[in-house]
Amino acid sequence: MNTIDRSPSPADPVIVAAGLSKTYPRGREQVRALDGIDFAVGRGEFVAVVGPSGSGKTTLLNLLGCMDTPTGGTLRLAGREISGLSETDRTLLRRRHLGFVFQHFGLVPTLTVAENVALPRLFARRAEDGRVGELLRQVGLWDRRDHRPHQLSGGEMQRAAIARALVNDPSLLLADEPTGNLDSATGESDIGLFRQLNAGGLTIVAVTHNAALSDAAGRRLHLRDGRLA
Amino acid sequence: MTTGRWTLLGVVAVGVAAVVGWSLGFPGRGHRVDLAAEPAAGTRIESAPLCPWRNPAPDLAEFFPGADESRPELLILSGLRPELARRLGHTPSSDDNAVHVQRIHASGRPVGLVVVRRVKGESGAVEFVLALETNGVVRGLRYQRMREPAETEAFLVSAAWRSAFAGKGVHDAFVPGRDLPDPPAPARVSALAVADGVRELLVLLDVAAGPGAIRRPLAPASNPAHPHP
Amino acid sequence: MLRFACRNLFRRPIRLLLAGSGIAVSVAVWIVLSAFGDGYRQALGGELQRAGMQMMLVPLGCPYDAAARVLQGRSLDISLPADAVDAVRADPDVAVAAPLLMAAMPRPSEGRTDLWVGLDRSALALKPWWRARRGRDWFDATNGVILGAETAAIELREPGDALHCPGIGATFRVEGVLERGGTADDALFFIPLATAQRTFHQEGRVTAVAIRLRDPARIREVAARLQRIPGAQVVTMTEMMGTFLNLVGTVRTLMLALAVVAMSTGVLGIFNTLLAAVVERTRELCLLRALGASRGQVFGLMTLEAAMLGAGGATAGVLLAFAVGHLVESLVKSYVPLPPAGSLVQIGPGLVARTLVLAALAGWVAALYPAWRASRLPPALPSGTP
Repeated sequence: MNTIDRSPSPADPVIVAAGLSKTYPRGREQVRALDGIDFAVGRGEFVAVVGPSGSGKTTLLNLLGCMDTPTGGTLRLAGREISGLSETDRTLLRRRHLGFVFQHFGLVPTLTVAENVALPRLFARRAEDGRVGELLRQVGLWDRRDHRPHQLSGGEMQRAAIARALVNDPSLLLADEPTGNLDSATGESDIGLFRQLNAGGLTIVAVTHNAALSDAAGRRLHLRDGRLA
Repeated sequence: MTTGRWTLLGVVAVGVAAVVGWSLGFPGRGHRVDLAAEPAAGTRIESAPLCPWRNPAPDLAEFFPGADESRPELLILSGLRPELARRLGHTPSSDDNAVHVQRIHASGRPVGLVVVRRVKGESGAVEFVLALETNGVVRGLRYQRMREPAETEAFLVSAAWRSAFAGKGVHDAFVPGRDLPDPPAPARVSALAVADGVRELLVLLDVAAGPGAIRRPLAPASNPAHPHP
Repeated sequence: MLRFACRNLFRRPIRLLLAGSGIAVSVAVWIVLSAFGDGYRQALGGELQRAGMQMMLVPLGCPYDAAARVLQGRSLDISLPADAVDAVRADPDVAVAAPLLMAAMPRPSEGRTDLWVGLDRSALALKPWWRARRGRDWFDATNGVILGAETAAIELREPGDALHCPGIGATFRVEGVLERGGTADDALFFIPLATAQRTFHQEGRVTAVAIRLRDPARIREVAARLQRIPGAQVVTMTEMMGTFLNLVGTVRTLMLALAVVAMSTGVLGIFNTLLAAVVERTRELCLLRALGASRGQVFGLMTLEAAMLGAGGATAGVLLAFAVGHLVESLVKSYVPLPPAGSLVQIGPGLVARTLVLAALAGWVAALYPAWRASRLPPALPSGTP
């Protein structure tokens, strides 16, 4: 198994996409969701992916999250070309190096906040060493650790989801419209949290329509019709 | 966990407990009903099985012609043993701790009750059915089983002997030859046993009507002519 | 993972209850039917063992019916001449030949039939458990009667009491009351053989001769010799047991087919429950894959849920089997030939363990396809309102 480069050098890119394409069949047609884009994201960068609906943002996030494979070009994540990876290797890559934050939080309704946060750790077969508690304190949910998701506010659910994304200490945090389901005050608070995490050295790629979030990012990637504008 | 789920789990737990309890033979409604039935040969008992009402249809036809329902009931007298001893004139037997009665109804109206008793005759057990008015006065007497010689049997089933009990209550005397017809010498022991049995039943029912007795309805039998072994 | 699986199961309590009940009922049916077969064989064996004989000489006719009637203490309409007893006793291989005369005295008006058995002292050699709880254990007077424990309890008789037999107008004196043996003997009236022959007008005749051999290995030769006694036939206990077990075996095969159907229903219940869960939780399962769950872990999660469902249902089924066992026993006893007095439905730890393993295996098999389907779901970002 290849080792993945996790050196802290800012010059070292975490993501390198070259001629990255994704084509979906739709009936007899082929839809080009991404059309040969080139970009790189350096370690410790905070990048916002913006663009209108249907521009290819979600497709890009799926590729970056190893949940899909490109139909053209290359994509290197943490030093590894993902096109050639097996299903198992992609799972391992997700598990060890990626954290996800979703617009609709994606919390499991039957589990408590603490259990939700611990879930990726359970899949990674990593012992609970206090990391879950540390993260819950960090996102201000320690007192709510035994609550179920439906007992939380939208902002609390998103912070729980962020804690879950960080529990395996990923090198890249992927966020899909993280403020899309939050009111502006709560959204601001979460943007602050993202800034704080980025300041701590975490690489973040966030797909967003939120101007405040894209302003908070160090760099924006504009997608339009599957191409970088 | 929601209240509804707790309720459901509670219902399941109670159901399981009931099944387990029943399987382990804890006392319950079904078991009390079984007390009235004569156990099959081979069951391990140390005392005489309770005397069942073996053939209700002809008994009801004779004593309560319009009856359409018999409601079994258990009168528990175990807390009244001192009073029973005083009224009976001897230590009550273990069978006297509880009396099974059938409350007879016609068109929903109580018309009387039926009690059965097994007494020790000269040549075997004598089982009789005693029918009473709602005020506790004897309406009539019939036999279920006996194994007396012909002369004794003839006396015991004679109209003169049987009808002598009618109209008597708990405060009446039951002395053969004085309050009841004088039996021939061979029938004396069995006749005395029947007379004592009737008197004791009336005492038991009188005590049961007072304070301290526990009345427990058993499984309702809409058809009074339920068969017994 | 165990807690996660448990929480998932309780997501739909009604569905869980229905699926669990299906398994419980099928497991209970399986256990009770299996326990019945084992219990019947064991109880029948014990009953024949207690009878203390290897064969029986009965009048010509259906030998098994005759032997069953004798064992149950029921009377026969036909009888053997007393010299048949002499012929049996003359056989050098016969250790004990105990003549029995059975008479049934029905009292239709009272809905009962008294069963009277005339026997001589040789019968004691075949009934090692014969012991008086009260009074004497053998007759002192020709009009003596020894009562089975049940009979004495119902008739309220003690040694010294009179006991009348209304059908024949004879009165006996109770000499003893036997210890409870748990057999049909508990409900019988025993009187001396000669008294029985005289009372029931069967002078010189017996209903059957119970035989114990000096060497049970010579049963075939002895049976062949005794078979030549005029008007008589020999039934060995092995033949009797085999015949009854064959009869019961046929019924048992049918019942086991029923149990297999019941078990299949339970398996289909698990299959259906899990498949519905996979369809219903597709988005969540995709999310778990996105969060780093491998295909194996998703497969494991689903099979764990199935195993827990199966185990819970099977445990409830075992409890249910204990509860309904008595009911089935009383029902079955009225239909099987020669119902032994012992328990027919014996649910032992071995049977329970076997059934639980079988239920777990069946649950696992039922979970394979839904779990495989779940494991093939791709990782995906959740979209839409949660």
